[in-house]
Amino acid sequence: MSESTPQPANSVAGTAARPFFRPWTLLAGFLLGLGLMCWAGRTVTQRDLHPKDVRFHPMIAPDSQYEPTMGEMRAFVRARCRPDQILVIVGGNSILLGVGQPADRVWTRRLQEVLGERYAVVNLAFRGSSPTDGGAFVAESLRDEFPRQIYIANVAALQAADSIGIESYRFILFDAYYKGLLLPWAPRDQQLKDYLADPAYKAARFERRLGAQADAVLHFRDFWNWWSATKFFTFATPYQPDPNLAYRARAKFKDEETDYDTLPFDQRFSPSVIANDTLITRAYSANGYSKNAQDQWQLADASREQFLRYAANAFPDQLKPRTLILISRNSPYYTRQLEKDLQNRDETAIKDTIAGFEKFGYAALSYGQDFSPEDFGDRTHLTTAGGAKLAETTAPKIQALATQLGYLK
Amino acid sequence: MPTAIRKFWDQLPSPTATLLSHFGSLAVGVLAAFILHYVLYRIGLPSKPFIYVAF
Repeated sequence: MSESTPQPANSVAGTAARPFFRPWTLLAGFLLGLGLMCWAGRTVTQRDLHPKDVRFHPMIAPDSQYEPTMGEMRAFVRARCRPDQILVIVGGNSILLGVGQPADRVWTRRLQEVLGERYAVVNLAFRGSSPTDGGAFVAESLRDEFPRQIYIANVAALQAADSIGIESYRFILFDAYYKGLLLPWAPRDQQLKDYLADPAYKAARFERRLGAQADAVLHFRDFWNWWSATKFFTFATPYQPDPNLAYRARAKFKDEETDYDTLPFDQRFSPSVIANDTLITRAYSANGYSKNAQDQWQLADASREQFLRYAANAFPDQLKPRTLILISRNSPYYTRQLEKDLQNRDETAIKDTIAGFEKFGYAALSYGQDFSPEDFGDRTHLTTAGGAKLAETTAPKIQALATQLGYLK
Repeated sequence: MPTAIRKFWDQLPSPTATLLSHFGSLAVGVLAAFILHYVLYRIGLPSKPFIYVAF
């Protein structure tokens, strides 16, 4: 272009003679950039971002505004399970995550030791999550890659579990669902449809769905999680061990779980905690039970039907037989103070829960009946000793399930 | 546009200016994509962390 040439019609800036910006080149750059970011997002989650971790501790979990993606968690599993091993994915809540147990003594490590080399135990539990959250979706998404798999999660007696998980972890469902990683399961599809159509949150949930659909193409959550884990975190969050570390790469944080074995008793069992947890323990099986004519505890029909409906819908039918539901009990520190009658009611509720899950083809097992108060760090979470007992209680059931499912042939 | 930059721009040989304008536009496009990609990630995160209390 010579200096005497008139300004082209498509120039957006620059001198009268020469444009600074070329709109079509800019658009090409934008599309190229988006394509590169999309490719990078798909690529970075092919390797494990957390090779040193045994679980998703708070600095790589929603506790600190870090939301692990399906790609990230699937890579976490692939890095820990060989194709010739039976995959055991542990989902569920903080009890199975191992709150109160340091990473080197977490119960899933003990479970791995007890089960041996033939199995690979991967802990994908999250604080406060339900049996149908993160670990469940990851296991389901890996059903073809690791067909010999067992999924473990925990509930309290007669605890309901939605097929779409709970709100705090629903980002994982959205990620899995809109990337097409889940089986078609009509009850879940319907529940998600109802969730999205709720008039009170329709606009917000529509945006969220749109975000998940865009992410399925652009992989921005995968890319920026990789960036946050390996380069630096891009914003400050209130959950920080030290404000100076606000932007530190998340993969550099260690799993510094509280050790219940060293935490003084009065910190774990303060008078206010005891008062509150006593009330919770007393109410463990209160809903729906009353005495019948034979002076035995009996669950009301409506409560039973509600629980059975949840159990029927929680997991796709073909995944139920490989799903082991653990029924968690409260610490004997609290339950021993209950009247015999309430203890009987709890046992009835636990038996009803096991029977309810087994009716639909799940495996179910309760634990904690023979545990001592020292096995619990608080009302529900286990100490290292309690975790070891849980592993030893659970392992035979897993082995029996593996045999039953034909995994050991 | 500051005068000094305008003068510099006007004095550049034509092929160089054309090349620079294409390169600059491409870079700005890539940068815009990078920013959009980050914004999409950031707006999808919750505004507050998930608070969990064990006891």
